[in-house]
Parts: sequence; C-alpha cells; structure tokens
Amino acid sequence: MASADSVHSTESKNPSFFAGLWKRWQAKRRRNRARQLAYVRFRLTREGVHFVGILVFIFIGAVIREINLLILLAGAMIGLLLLQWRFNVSTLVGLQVRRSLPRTAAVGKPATVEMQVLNPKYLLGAWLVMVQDRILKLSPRRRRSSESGTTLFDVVRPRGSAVANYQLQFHERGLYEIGPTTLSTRFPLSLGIGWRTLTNSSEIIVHPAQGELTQAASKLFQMDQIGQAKSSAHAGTQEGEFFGLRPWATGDSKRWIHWRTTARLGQLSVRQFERQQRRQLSVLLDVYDDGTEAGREACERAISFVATLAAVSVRHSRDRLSVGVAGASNQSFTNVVSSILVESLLDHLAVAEASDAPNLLDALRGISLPLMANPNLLVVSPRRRPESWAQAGKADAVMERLLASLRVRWIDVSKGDLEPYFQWI
Amino acid sequence: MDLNRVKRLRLNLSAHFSIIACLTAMLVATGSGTYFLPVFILLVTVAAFLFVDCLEWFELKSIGSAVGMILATGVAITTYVVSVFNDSESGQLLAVAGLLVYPEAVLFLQNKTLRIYEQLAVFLLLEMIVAALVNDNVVFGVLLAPIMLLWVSSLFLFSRYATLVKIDASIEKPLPRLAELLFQRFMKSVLGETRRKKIVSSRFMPDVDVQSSSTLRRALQSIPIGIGAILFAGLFFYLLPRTNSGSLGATLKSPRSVGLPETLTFGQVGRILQDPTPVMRVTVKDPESGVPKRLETPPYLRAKVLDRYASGPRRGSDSHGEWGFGGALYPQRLPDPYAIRRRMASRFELSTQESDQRALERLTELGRDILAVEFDMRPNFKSVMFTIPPTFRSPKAAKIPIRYDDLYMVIQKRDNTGIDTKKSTIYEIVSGGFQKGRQVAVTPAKLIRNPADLEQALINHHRDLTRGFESFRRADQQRLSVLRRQGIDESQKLAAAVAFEQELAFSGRFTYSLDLSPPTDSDLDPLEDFIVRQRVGHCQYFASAMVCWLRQTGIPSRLVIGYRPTEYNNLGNYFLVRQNDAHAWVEALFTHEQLEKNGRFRSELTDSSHYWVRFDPTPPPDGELTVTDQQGQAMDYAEKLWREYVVEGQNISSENSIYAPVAEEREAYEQFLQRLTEWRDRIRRNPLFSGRLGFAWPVAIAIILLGAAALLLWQGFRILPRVAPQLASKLGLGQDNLQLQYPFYSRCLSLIGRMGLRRGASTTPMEFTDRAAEALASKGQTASSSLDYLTGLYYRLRFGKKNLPTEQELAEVDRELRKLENAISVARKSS
Repeated sequence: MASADSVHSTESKNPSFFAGLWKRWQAKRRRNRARQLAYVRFRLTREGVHFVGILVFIFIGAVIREINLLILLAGAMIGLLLLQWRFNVSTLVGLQVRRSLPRTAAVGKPATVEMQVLNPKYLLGAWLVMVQDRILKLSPRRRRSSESGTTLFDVVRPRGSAVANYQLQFHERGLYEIGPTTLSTRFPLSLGIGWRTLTNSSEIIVHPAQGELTQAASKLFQMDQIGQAKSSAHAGTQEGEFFGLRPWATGDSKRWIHWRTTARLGQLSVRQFERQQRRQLSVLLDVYDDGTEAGREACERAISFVATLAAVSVRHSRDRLSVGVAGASNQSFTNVVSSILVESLLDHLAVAEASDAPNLLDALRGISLPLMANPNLLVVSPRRRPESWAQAGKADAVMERLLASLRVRWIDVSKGDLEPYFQWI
Repeated sequence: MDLNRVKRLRLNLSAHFSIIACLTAMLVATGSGTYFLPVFILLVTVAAFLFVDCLEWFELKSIGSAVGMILATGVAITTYVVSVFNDSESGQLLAVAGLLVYPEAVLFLQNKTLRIYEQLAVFLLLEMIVAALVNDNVVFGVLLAPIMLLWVSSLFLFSRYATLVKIDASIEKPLPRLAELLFQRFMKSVLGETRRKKIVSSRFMPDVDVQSSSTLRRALQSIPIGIGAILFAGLFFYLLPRTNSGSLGATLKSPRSVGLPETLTFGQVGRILQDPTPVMRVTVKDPESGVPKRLETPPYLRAKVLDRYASGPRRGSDSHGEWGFGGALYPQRLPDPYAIRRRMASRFELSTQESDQRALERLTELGRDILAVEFDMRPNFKSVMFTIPPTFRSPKAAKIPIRYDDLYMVIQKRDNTGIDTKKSTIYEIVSGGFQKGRQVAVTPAKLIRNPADLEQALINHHRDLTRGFESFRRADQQRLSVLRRQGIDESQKLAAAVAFEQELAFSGRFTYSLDLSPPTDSDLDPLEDFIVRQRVGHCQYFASAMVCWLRQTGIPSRLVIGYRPTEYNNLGNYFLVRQNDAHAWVEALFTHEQLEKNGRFRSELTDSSHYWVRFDPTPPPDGELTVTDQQGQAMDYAEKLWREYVVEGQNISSENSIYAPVAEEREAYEQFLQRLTEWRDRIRRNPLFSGRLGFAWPVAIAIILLGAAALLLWQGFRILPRVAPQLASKLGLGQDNLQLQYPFYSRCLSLIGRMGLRRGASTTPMEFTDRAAEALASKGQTASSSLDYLTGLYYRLRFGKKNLPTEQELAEVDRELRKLENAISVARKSS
C-alpha cells in the first residue's frame, strides 16, 4: 500500500486538462472491459434458426437469380437479427441482482424468495428479463433439482430497479444452495436468447417437516416429573437461573454472555432470567440408514419427530430438552430451552446425515450430564434396538455408571412405535 | 398465472399473424393479377379468429390438420403440374404461393400453440419471398414498411408468449410430438423407470404486467426497431453489389410489346392510338448541371423515317396502304462535342471532336438552347430508339452504345446493338433542337454521305422524295383546288406547304377521329379515300395526305413517326409517354433562301444550306396541344424511383455507388479522378489560399481565434472545480476525478456522506475512513471492517496498478457496501 504521504501528495495535485482527458478515456476503457467480464452469451432460439435458414435461402436465391428485391428482404431480416443480438447483449450487461431469502425454511412450507434487479445503465432499460436460480441440495446427499426458481421482470428502467418474487416449496430437508442466478431475455423478437450467469449463490437451511404431537406424547416423559428442582440445582449463576438465551442488548453485563452460543451464532448472546422449567427431556436420535426406501422414510420420520418435539415442547411448554444425534457425525445439544437453541438444533437436524453404523454411545456421551440428573432416555430410531448398542461404553467408568442407571425407552419408527405419539398435520 | 391474460395475449398474436397473412397474400396478388389467394386467406383467418380463437367452438385436431395438410399440398401440386404442362411461368409461381397459403389456412384453423405460431411464421416468411419474386412494382415497397412493423410487433408478442410458456408450460396444451409419446411409453413399459421424486417445487409469481403487452408501449418499441431494420436493409442493399437485371415480374406480366412497328399501316396506327400503356419517361434537362427544364409545348420524339408508300385498295376493314423505309442506314458514333473536355480524344480524333464542339458552340451562338434529353424506356419495348435532332453525344458516360444516322437523323435500333430489351433502357442525348423552351421546327439537313458526288446525290435524293403519288389524280385535284383557294402559285413551295398544313389542320374540312367508318369504295386507296371522300382520320392520314400533296408539288418530303407526349410529371420532372401519344408528322426539305423570307422560320435558321422543316397537319383537339400535369404523378414517380433504385438498381449501380471506382466502365473512375483534380484546382484558385492577397489574413485570424478559444476552454476546465465544484464533479473534473473512476469508492463516500461527513482535500482516504468508523461506533454500529476493506481495495487499484477487480472482489465489494449501508441506515435511525 502506498504511504500516506505519497497518497496525499498524489491526490493534492490537479491533473492537467489533457491528462484528465486521457485518464477519463482509460477509465472508460476499464469499465468496458469490466463489462466484458460480465460475459453475456447469445444463441439463436428455435425460431431464430428457422429465420436464419430462410434468410440463407433468400440470399442464395437472390444471388443466383439476380433479384434485387430479395436482397432488400434479406437485408431487412439481417437487420432484425442484428438488432436482436445487440438488444440481448446490451440489456443484460451491467444488470445486478440481489436475492433476499429467509435463512431457514421448513419442508412443506413455502418460502418466498425476493429478487431485486438493478439496472445501472443510463439509457437502456431491460425488458422481459427472466431470472432463474439453480437449486442444489448440498447436504445430506447432494442432489441437483430439475426445478429452478424462476421469476420474470417486465421492465427494469434505466437507473432503476424492480422486485419480483418466486416461491419454493421444499420436499426434503437439508442445506440448499440457491443460485447462481442466470439472467436471460428473448426481448425483443425472440429470434435469439441472451443469458448471463452471476456468481451469487445463497444458502438456505430447510428444517425437517414438523407434525404434531398427540396427547399420548406426554406419556413418553412421564417417568420423570421432577426435572425442575434437580435441574435448578445444577444450573444458574449468581444472578439466578437462566432458562434461555437472547441477543445482547445495551445494559447487559458482560458476565451474562454465553460464549459458546455466541461463537456458534456469530453474535453476542446472553443468558435470560430464569423461569420455571417443567421437564427435563433427554432424547437420543439414531439417524440410521439401512439402504432401503422404507428405512429412509422411517429415518426422516424419526428426525421429524425430534424436530417437532424441540419446536413444541421447548417453545410452548418450556421443557428443557437435551438431544444427542448419532449419524454420520455426532452432535449433542444440551439444555435446549430457548428459541435460538431450538433453531440451532433444527439447523443440525436439517443436515444430519444418516449412517449405516451410527455411534450411539458417542452421542450419548454428549448428553451424559443431563442424563445424570435425569436418567430417563428416549431413543428414537428407525430400527429395532440392537443388542450391543451399549457395550462399547463399558470401558469408560462414567459411562458404565450412566448406562447402568439409564431408563431407556426405545421407539422403533419402522415398526410404527411412533404412531401413537406423532402424526403429520 | 392469469390464464385470461394469457389468452388475450394469444388472441393478439393470432390477430397479428392474420393481418400479416392477408397483406402478404395481397402482395402476391398485386404482382400476379389474381386475387383468389388474398380473398381465400382473408375468409379463413377471419373465421379462424372468431370461431377457433375467440369463441373456441371448434378446432382442427391432429387428424384433421394432417388431412388438411395433405389436401392443401395435393391441390397446390396439381396446380403446379398443370401450369408446367401449359408452360405458364406465372401459373407455376402462383402454385408455389398456393402451396404456402393453403397450409397456412390449415394452421390457422388449429388451436394456437407456440409450435403453431412458429410454423405460421415460417410459412409467412416464405410467402414474402414469393411476393418479392412476382411483385416488382412500388406497391411492394409501400406495403413492405407496414408489414415489417407488423412483423416486429408480432415478434414482440411472440417473445413474451414464448417466455411465459418456457416458465410454465401448462398455460397451453401443446400437441405432443409422436417421438415424445413413443419415448415416454418406452421408458415406462420397457425400462420400468419411475419418475424421480422432486426435492423442491417452484412457483412462479408473475406480476400482472408480465402477462400482457401494452399496445402503446409495443408500438413505441416496434416503430424504431422496424425503421432500424428497414434502414439497415437500405444500407445493406446499397453496400452490396447489385444486379441490373429486371425482376421476374416482368416475365409474368403480359408479354405484349409496346412501341412502333417496322412498317405502318393505317389500321396499326389506329390501334396504337387507343392504347394508354405507358411506354417511357423522357426528361429534358441542362446537360452540365442536370437541372430539369419544362418545355412550353410537347416535344416531338423522333423514332423512324418512312419514305416509301405502297398504295393498295382497301380490303375488308383493314387498311392496306403501307408506309415503309426505302433507304439504308449507316449509323455511326454520335458527334461528341464534350470529348475534348473529358480528355478522351486521341490525336487522330481530335479534329473531329473539335468540329463537333464548334458546331455546338455555333448553335448556341445562333440562339439555340442546348439541352440533354434522357429516355427511360420500359421493358418489353420494341427496339426502336428516339432522338431530337440535331443530336450530339451527352457529356455523361453512355450506358448503352448509341449509333446515329445523320442523314435520316435516327438512332439505330437496340436489338442491333445487343441490348437486352427485357429490362428498362436508359440513355441520354444532347439536342440543339430547342429555342426558348420550345422545340424548333427547322433542323439543318445533311443530304449526302459522300461529298465527292454532291450534285448527283442531291438529284437522287430529290427524286426519291418527290415520287410515289403520281397516280393519285383526285388527290392532286384537291391539292390544286387548295392552292387556288389560297391564291398560291405552285412555284411558291414554302407557301404551298404552309397552305397544305393549314388546310388539313385548321380549315375544318378535315376531322380527327380514331373511329374509322367502313370504306365506301373498296377500289380506292385509303389515303386517297381520306383526302377525297372521308376526310376523317387520325394523324397518319393527315401526315400522309400532306406528304402526298407536297410530293405532288415537287417538294421533297417524308413521313416521320414517333411520340408526342403531353403529360408532365412535376415531381420527377419528366414527360410520361404513353402508347396513345404515338404521332406522325411531316418533314419537307427547303433551302436556306426559301426559309429566310418567311418570318415563321427565319429565327430558327442556322448556317446550313438546306433544312428539314417539320409540319404537323393533324388537327389538335382544342387549339394547340399543351403540356398538362400528369394524373397520378406521385404514384408514377414512386414507381420510377422504385424501379431505378431497387428493382433494377440501375441508378445506383454505377456512378453513385461505392463501386464506382471499380465499375465496368472506366470513365466513371476517370471522372472521379477528374473531379478530385477540379476540387484541388478550385482550392488553389481561391484567393484565400492563392496568396494573391499577399497574406491570407482571414486564415491567420481564424487560426488565432481558434487557438485562443482552445486556451480559454482549457483554463476554464482548470478553474471550474474551484468556481463550481458540483458541476465539475459531474463533469468528472477536479479532485474527485480520481475517485469517480472507482464507482465503488465513490459509493462508499456517498454513503458516509449521509452521515454528514465529507472528505476534505487534505484528508487521506484512510484518515477519512477512520473518522467515519468512529462516527458509526459512537452510534453503536460497527462497520470498520467494511470501511477498511473498501479503502484498502481502493488503494490497491488506484496506486497498486492493479487493473481490474476480480469477480470475487466485486462480489465482496457488493457485500461490504451493503453492510456499510445497513450500518449507516441503522445509525441514522437511532440518531
């Protein structure tokens, strides 16, 4: 970087007139080359190919039979083709696109994506611009969608902008990449189509589909009604118990900052004041994939149940939930008591990848602390309970004690064990 | 999507294509002369628009359309085969047009989908080709513009409709192609594949404006595009080497030739005089400047000389008296008085060109107007060419070879010079036969070719032109009675000729008519019958009668035929000559001494010893014939321009085109060089540059003033940032000039400017950035990372000689600018 002195000295000198002209011309050249980098491609449409075929026929006929009127006709057709090409290219050069989409969506619920197109050109508007976003599922199981998010702009005036929306309805949970955006137009004559692809992908997390818990679902956790007093003894700070987290606001003490959540979310989060908690729920989600279609469906159902549990039990009932997820990777969420933490859990459930050999004990270890306070464990799995699912932990003394004290309720989704407790909306 | 709006869009598109189909069929019809096709397609399109598109009562399904196409093709091919057997080229072209129009009708009767519209467009374009082949008149050019605009408008609609269909194919029920159906069945039954479950569904949420097309906006957009395409077509046409051949339309029309026959019977002339077909356009203009001149009286356009009359009794209704030419033509190059100026003359030809030049100058001295006459003869015109003597070669380069016989003062026929008579012929001659806006009646005569045997040649010439009517005794008696009545002696030749003209044209005893009654005496020669008995006839009768009387008086005379047009086109400044302008008049030979005594002819005399004097004994319809304005002259002028500049490309294929330097005739290239030399000489001769004034003060003053103006402007740009900084920044001048070269940094500055912070001249970008970050932080917003990034990039680009930001940097810049904007807007709201 140039030194401040040199910068200062350079900038305080008035450029001479011709030097200024030269620099302006160079700047214009640079702008034009930058525009060339925004490479607009052009091809003939089907009707354009027919058009060119007839044009060639006319031209050859005019030359062979020496008929001037056909040359006139061919000239008019070439003029239209040239105008089409220039319009297509000039319309799309310089257009900027901004996409606004929610951070998350849910399976089965429409998400509206807003596209804003800005036209920085002074004279030329943009007409009939089609904006298409590629949709790519990144995880779990990368897949490209044949559908694309499409919207159409009638006109984007010079130095103006226009906004249009499209809706996406996701059928599978996961992390999706929306974009890049392709701008295209057939304006004005549909003889050719110009298009330009931007590099502006965004991501959206699609949470698992949520159903509703039946009345019987509360029986799943009837083994423990206490939760409240025990959990209170272990939680809290000098200011009192906290039951959730919220963004940092002016006046909050730095001691209230929950650093772990802050690191995860990227913004300051502080503990909220405590509230009465009702229950301590511990759930182990077995994301198991046996390779069959039925197995995958059961797995998704299991995930959806846990997601529903998190959303309903914690948001509405203020239960304290701890979830261990065992799949291709293990993750644990303890004391999920606030909306932010529920969101975080749902985000992970969205991208949880199944495995044919999930390490349940490892996931269990992550939620061992709450289990020590309340040893009731609900295991939600798409398979029946394997015999040796707890044997690997026997080497660890702590885990042995824990396993010895655990009261496990195993729900085999594939057998329909979940039916009494969970239904789709 | 609102299907009603989409349907309206479809209806609009169908209406456009219907109108285009009707107009294109009309183009074909005006060229071919048969109106069946436009009437047929009009009925079909109206019915289709109403019952298929609007009311949706019926439509041709796939089977119906297939049957319709087969029928249409069958009818067209049958018509074509029949016309081949009848050897009718026009019928063949019409059959080809039918091959396009009948399937169009089938398409119009189907449910309109994108595919149908594409096919309609293809057929309509092909029909335009046929229209261009058969229609070469100006109607094609006139209709081309609205058809072009309609095409553009319909393509606008088509592009919108195609875009909507691409987004949501369910808005129309497309006809599946057979291959697609088979493929789907194959995939389903043989491979047993099931459709993959979709992971996401997208829903298009269109705005209302997207689904319809505003007529006003479409018109405002179509017009410049249509005009642009037409202009490009004109430019393309001008730049491309064009041909000189005529269109096919010339061969499709009636092959009847117009013009004058080789020999002339009285019945032939009668038929010619009833035919209003235009035959040529004649422009009279200044030979140097090309400025047109309008004559006060209709000119006599000389075509042939007929000096032998073969008499015979009248048989039936056909006239059997026949005029013919009994001499021999020896055509040579036209006298070329401009050759010396063109520096084309070789040393051996110099003397001839000098004498030609002197002859023209002498005519000018004697009061004659030297005018150029341009003849534009239509295609299929008989090969005769026209002149107005005395004739000289034009200063313009001749497009066709002109050979002239100065004895009979006629130009050689075209077919002897290898000129294609199937296309228009344009040529120009210079004539000294005008005086004060009128064509003179007196022309200097050349009587012999070889001056060696002058006396005998004169005698032979006299003898040939005073015979032929010795047996017409009753006609002779009439002649003598005319002379007696006027009190003129036979020795007074000129007076006798004038008396004969008066008697025939103005006495009232003879009547002009094209309606000829049957002969009363079948043994009488038609000419003698006219003179003695009928006294009703057309111009050939009158002229023949006068020649008869002149020869019987011993005055050498002959019949001249040609045209005498009266219609003048003021727009194009030319005479329109029609077939019924054909005329016959008389030439009689007199000496200089005979004519000198007569006041009527004295002023027209030159230095020649003998003269041919023109007499026109035909009674004019209402007094003297005058030049009248042509009816429908705008249309005729447009037709002229269309033919010259487009169909045959004659006017822009040589001198005026960019191909002039490499044109076939080398004179064009040499003329171009000569023009450059003249310009150079003119500049040199100019007092400003010649130095004759001693010193070119005006030039010096102009240079000084220009220099002062440039200096002032330069200084103005320098002080403008101090005096008007806003205007200077808009013009990109002053201190901010550098920053404005980097729009992202100027955007950053403008965002910070919303907080009321402006960068001073003495503040570096980094210092300014730090101040801005502090100001934002004081309002609880952090944007220092964005500001640092933007300023850092600015430094790198501005001072680090890094030419272009990369795509990633551009994207990052966009993100940082948005962050900064958000932070600033929050800060402003909070304050």
